[in-house]
Amino acid sequence: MLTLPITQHYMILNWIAVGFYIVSTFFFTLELTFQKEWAIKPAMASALVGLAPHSVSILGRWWEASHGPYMAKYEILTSIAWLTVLLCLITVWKIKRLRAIGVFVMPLCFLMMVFALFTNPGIHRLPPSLRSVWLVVHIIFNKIAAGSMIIALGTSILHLIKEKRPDRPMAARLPAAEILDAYTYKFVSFGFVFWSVTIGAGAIWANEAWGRYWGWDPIETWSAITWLLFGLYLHLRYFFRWSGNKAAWMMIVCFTSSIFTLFILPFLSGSIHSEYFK
Amino acid sequence: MKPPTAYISPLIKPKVVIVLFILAAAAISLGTLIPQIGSASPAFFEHWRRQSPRIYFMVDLFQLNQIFTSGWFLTLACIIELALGYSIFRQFVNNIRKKQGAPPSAACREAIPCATPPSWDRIAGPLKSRGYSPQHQDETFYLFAKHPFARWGSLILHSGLFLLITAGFIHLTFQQRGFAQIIEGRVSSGREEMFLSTSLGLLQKRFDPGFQTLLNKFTHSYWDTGSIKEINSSILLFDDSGSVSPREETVAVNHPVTYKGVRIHQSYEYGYTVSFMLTKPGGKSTLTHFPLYNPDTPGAPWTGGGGFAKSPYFFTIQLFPSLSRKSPSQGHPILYLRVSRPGAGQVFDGLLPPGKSILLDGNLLQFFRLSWWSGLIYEKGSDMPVAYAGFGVICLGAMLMFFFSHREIYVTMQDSEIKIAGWTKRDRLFFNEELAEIKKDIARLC
Repeated sequence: MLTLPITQHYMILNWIAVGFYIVSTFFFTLELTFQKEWAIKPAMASALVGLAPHSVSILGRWWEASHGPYMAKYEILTSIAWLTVLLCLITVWKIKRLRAIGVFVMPLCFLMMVFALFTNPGIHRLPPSLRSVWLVVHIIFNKIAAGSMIIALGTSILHLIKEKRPDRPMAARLPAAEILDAYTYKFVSFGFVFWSVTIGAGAIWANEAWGRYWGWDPIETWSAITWLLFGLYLHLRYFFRWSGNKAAWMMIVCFTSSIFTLFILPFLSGSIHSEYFK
Repeated sequence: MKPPTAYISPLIKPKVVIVLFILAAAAISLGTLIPQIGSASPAFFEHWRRQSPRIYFMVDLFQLNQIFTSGWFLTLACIIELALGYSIFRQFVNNIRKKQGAPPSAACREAIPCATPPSWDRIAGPLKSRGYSPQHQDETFYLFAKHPFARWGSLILHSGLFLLITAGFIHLTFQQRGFAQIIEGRVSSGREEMFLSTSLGLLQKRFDPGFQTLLNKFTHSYWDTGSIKEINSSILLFDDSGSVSPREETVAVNHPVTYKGVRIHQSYEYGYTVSFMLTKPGGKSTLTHFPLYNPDTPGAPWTGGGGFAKSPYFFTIQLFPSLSRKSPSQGHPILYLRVSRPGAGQVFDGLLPPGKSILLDGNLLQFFRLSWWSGLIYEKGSDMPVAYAGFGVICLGAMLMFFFSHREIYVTMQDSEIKIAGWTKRDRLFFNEELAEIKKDIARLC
């Protein structure tokens, strides 16, 4: 009988989840592009079914590695994808008029997973500085922030599509531009709260681990820059009533900054944080 | 003469606030783009200065190589602090002054014709079912509010930021921090001289912890992958006065110890200490310790060196603790020693096993002991509680601001019509949708 190491088991489970997410994307696209109302149910069902093997693989990995999904590209990307799919499903289920975000969010999630699967699925052991309850808080809130920012990105892109080609049938299926704009603001605010907690918990953890809560480390600094950019976005909306395309582009700039902070900077700089994404 | 607020109030004008945001983000991003003193080696800056003297001159002139302690950055931080302080004050005054019972001028008004006006209780029904509670009532006017506490969210968030920047200033002024290499079995002096490096606030002259530290035992372990798993230092802390009995503690990464207001952290720095005993022909002995540094690559030797105390000798040391480097007890340590003396050049170049001796110009040099040193960080400051409070308050404020939307609905009944007006700061679109639903529900009651 063929026996596979446990690592292979959760890799297979992840690939199964990717398969379901691709199916889900197909149905979401069908619903939006070809106006097939019925396709929304299979889209949500396949995403929900995909979440099951995805969850089992994350838990299996957690059990095997003896630490949460926050070490190395594989764990970070698959867990962010898991949380984003969950947030997307909750959003589509609770806010009917936002069901089109699946078209952008689901492919982003399965691409993150595929990228993770082709990188370094080997287990990385935790250095002593990363064993802290504050780190767990820091990471959980960061993933929620990342998930809500991805959804805000989806609503921003949909907004830009709606504004650019309002006469297209696909655009006609989308909610009104103001509604998409309002939801972008909602998800950015939601993400902003979680990003704030991320920085706060990270600072407390840094103080326990290194004896300083802020050290101008590149990732710390860029995390603060991203927070400032989101703060700028919220102030521009509040003071200058920024909305529509301007606000959507500003959101894309903020999102790019968060991606740069989380995923690109660890490769560019010798930061004490870099170890988590190597 | 203008009141002081006349000079500060422009700082909270929307355009100025946006400019401050952009300046802050740009300044701190420069700090990561340009190598900073402290994060890059002095050799790097010397090389840069020689390669591009003009660019380096400009960088140095504008303190771009030490942005976070530069005059212009601190001035910017002061301006932001002032703006925040004034904004908090204005928000506080506005929140306190907000009159109950009068809709703001921005509130929208729409009349619902109502031939037989329902009772106030019936009107309150659709509002209460949506989470609104009555705040004020008279014969013709009713005020309902949802999440009225959320109006303090912005003030709380800005107060948190204010606290955070205050903590930064306290840190800059009063911080005391030092890094010490403590050798197993040795007691630190408890004075500033024990530190290899210190970082002091502008108003601090010295950092004397006021107690001594004895390193009982240093332990560390590795994962099967070769990465570090645990680093622990078992220490004994002695009060300088001698009135308190010594306290035994274990410091580990993420588990600092506080003693007499000083927090002791375990750093990632550790290594071997090679101790030599030099005995002169007259019988007088001198013991000197050489801490060695952890090599970056596995299998590479641990290196160190320096002048031997009370002698003209200079030592260059390479230690191969064992074949695996991970445990000195599993293999035999190999010490490769080079000793030089001014005027005579190299006087010894060879291997020295533990416990063995060699002759140096008639002096007996013994490889006396091999032990560990542990890098401990000592830190004292009053900024930490302020910073923690700042982070907590920011999170609370952000939650109040964005998870709860303060909404007010005003209902007036005059003659045969009901007027409904609403007001909110955020989520206007969703509020308008909710208001439209409420109007429909109330219209059904007529």
